[in-house]
Amino acid sequence: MKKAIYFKKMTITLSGAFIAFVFLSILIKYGIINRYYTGILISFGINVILAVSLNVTTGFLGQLTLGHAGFMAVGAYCAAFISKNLVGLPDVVCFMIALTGGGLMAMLIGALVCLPTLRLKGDYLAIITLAFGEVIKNILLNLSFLGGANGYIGIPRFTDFGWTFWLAVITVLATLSLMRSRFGRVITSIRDDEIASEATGIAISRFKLLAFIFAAFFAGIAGGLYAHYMSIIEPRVFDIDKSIEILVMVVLGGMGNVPGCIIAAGVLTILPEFLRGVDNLRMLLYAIALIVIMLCKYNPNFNRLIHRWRNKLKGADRT
Amino acid sequence: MKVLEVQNLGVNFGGLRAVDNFSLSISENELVGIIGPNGAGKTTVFNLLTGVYKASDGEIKVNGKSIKNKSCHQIINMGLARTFQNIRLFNDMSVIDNIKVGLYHRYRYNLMTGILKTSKYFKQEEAINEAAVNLMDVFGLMPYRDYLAANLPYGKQRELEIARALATKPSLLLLDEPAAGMNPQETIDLMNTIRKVKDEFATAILLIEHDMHLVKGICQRVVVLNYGQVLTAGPTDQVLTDSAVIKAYLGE
Amino acid sequence: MNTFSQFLMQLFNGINSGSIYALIALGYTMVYGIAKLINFAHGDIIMVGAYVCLLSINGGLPLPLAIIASIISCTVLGIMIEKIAYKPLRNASRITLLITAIGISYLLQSSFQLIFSSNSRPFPDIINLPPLIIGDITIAGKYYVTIIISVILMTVLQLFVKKTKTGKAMRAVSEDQGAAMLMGINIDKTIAITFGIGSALAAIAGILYCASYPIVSPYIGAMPGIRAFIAAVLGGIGSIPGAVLGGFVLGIIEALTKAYISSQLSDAIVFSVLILILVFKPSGILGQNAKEKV
Repeated sequence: MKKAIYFKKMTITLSGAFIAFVFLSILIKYGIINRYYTGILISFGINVILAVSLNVTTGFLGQLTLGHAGFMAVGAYCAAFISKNLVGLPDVVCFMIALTGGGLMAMLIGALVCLPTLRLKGDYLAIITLAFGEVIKNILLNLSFLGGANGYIGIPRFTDFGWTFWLAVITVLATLSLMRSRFGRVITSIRDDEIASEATGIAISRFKLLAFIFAAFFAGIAGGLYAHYMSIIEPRVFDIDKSIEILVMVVLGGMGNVPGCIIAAGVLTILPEFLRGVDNLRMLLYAIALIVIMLCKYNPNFNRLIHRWRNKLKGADRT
Repeated sequence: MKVLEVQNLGVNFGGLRAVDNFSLSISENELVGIIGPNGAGKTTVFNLLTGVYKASDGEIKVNGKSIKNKSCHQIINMGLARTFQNIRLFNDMSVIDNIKVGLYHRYRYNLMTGILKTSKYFKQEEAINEAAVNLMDVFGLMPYRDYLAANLPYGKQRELEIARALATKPSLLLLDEPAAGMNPQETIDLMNTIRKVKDEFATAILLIEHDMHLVKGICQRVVVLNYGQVLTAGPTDQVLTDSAVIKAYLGE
Repeated sequence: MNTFSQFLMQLFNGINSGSIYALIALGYTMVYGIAKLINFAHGDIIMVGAYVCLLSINGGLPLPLAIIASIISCTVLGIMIEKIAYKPLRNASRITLLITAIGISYLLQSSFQLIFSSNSRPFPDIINLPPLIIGDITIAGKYYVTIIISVILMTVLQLFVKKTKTGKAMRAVSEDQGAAMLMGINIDKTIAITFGIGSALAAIAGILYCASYPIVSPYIGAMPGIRAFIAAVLGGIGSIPGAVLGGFVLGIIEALTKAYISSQLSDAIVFSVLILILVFKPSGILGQNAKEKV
């Protein structure tokens, strides 16, 4: 992309984000968006960060990970621990340190999980990450200085709409930026054909690790935001169901499709609000969504239909 | 200087001696063919050269350096590049991006530059783009620039695979049955392409092929493999009229 | 009781749960061998089997009929899952299949949760045999019954795969689908049979599991499911003797960890076993090194 075009696009994007931010902030300030809806907006932002970062490993790198909630947990607990024990600093600085610490810790753990699995094929990686998520949960349940099964309480409520909004914007931009660099191309090439990628001189394990820690870092940030929004965190929140929920966002939004992921994160944040009290139904819908999307994606008739629609829409544009 | 020196190469698969006592050396800008009946160990030689399999004995030197204990991608970065018998492209990526992956090591910038998009990023990306376009021009891939690799016609897929391999700027290019599945006209086009590659990119080429017209038409030297061993080697016309070679191919 | 007898008791505990893991692991391994798919839903079939058995008993069916009902419904379910969800995706990428399998697993769990609520129900004591007493060791009836049944089933399965025509077809399909098809083997039928057998074994495993841990809930499949999967990987995924061996080894490791190290950390230790195998010998104890053809 030419530099000038890029800066023009970037300026438009950022000013768009800024206008949206100012608009929403005003609505929140004057109570037109009440606390309940602000809460939904914050959850939406956190889910965007989670979905977009998972998209890097599952969508672009093509490795199924089932432990994203585990990285979120690491980030949440680490950030909460920092902000509870770091006194005497202004809130903003404290929160920044806590979030960065949470992200870095998640990144470190991500590297530790990824390293032994680098030589393995996708199926095993899925299982390892699943196992890892459960191990993290079990360890947290047994760590009394982090509250154990009772939950870790008294975390300062630093997270507000502004933090979530801008961190979500940063995550999206960083992800898009990574994928549009020479590193992103290589990551996608590994998804398409590992053997060909290696035969083109690519050290594939290095890039798997890169995608992994990149995703883990942002999952950790999301965890930090979540902890400082809820003010109390419990290990069981970060279980496999949460990982699956994030996966559904990625699958629904389209693997390797960042804007799709954002929309899917929005849908899946609002949907449970309509299904309050019937939580079982929610998991059932997720399950059906996963199966149907996969079956449709691989069905030639369905693909042909999509293609025809797209062509029709394009035709309509021209006339 | 020799781009490739192979001495007494051998590999065992279980009890099977798949390649035995194989020696070969290739000079700069030479075009050499490997022929032999199916199962003679030709692709195995390629896999040994690129480190996909580890040799049981013998030595391989690429540009004068031994490839012992090097992994596949390290060997590629020493100056080797290859294509596959059954084409392996990055199917869900565009044609130009396929080539850009090959250019990864030639135009560098670090991760932070890539994410923050400093001016170095734009300078390098422009260079990458230019190099990719140049390669596409050579192979007539420009009209397909933004096609997904999977949607290319078969012949173009072969050429894209060669273009991607050339993007790494190899001193030796390994082609595994480039004419497989092509009709006579496509094969003639391919021969011209290979000649062009040899001249324009100043690279040596080692190719495996069953199509004797192609071998006769472009190879300067030929090595004949049979049961993992070199049956005979030498200038193309001499080898192809050798009675032992004809026997290996056609039987008694 | 001296420490040695105590150790033997724990060993028996381990062999008991190990034989259940082995039965489940057989299903994973057979399906993986033939369809190259980690059937995430396999663990939930155990749960379905346990529910059907429980409901049949509560509905007044005698135990043998309840067991048969459970086996039949799981077999049908397994074949249906294959037909509806996996068969259309046979040539799709691995990740597509894995995501579908996860979807099926959640579909089973959440639909059972909707129908039967997430409360756990007691499972009746179906094996009322006198305990076996050797010296100062007491082995409960359900333990040795579980072990005996499992060993019989594994032997029968091994003979079936090695000796019968269908078994040979299964091995052929897992080696090379294309070649098997050209030899006139009905691939669809063979894969369906594999899923059927795996699910039938899962049903029996589910009943035996509930005989040992007498509680039924929509989630009971997950725990033995993932352990059996680890057992299959430990033994070498795709290998039938490997799954059996892996099952027993894992059961024993788990029992001994719980007894001598820490019951809370047993999960972490079991998962560490998985990670260690995958790092040092990804092909497992009895598995073959598969290298992708280049």
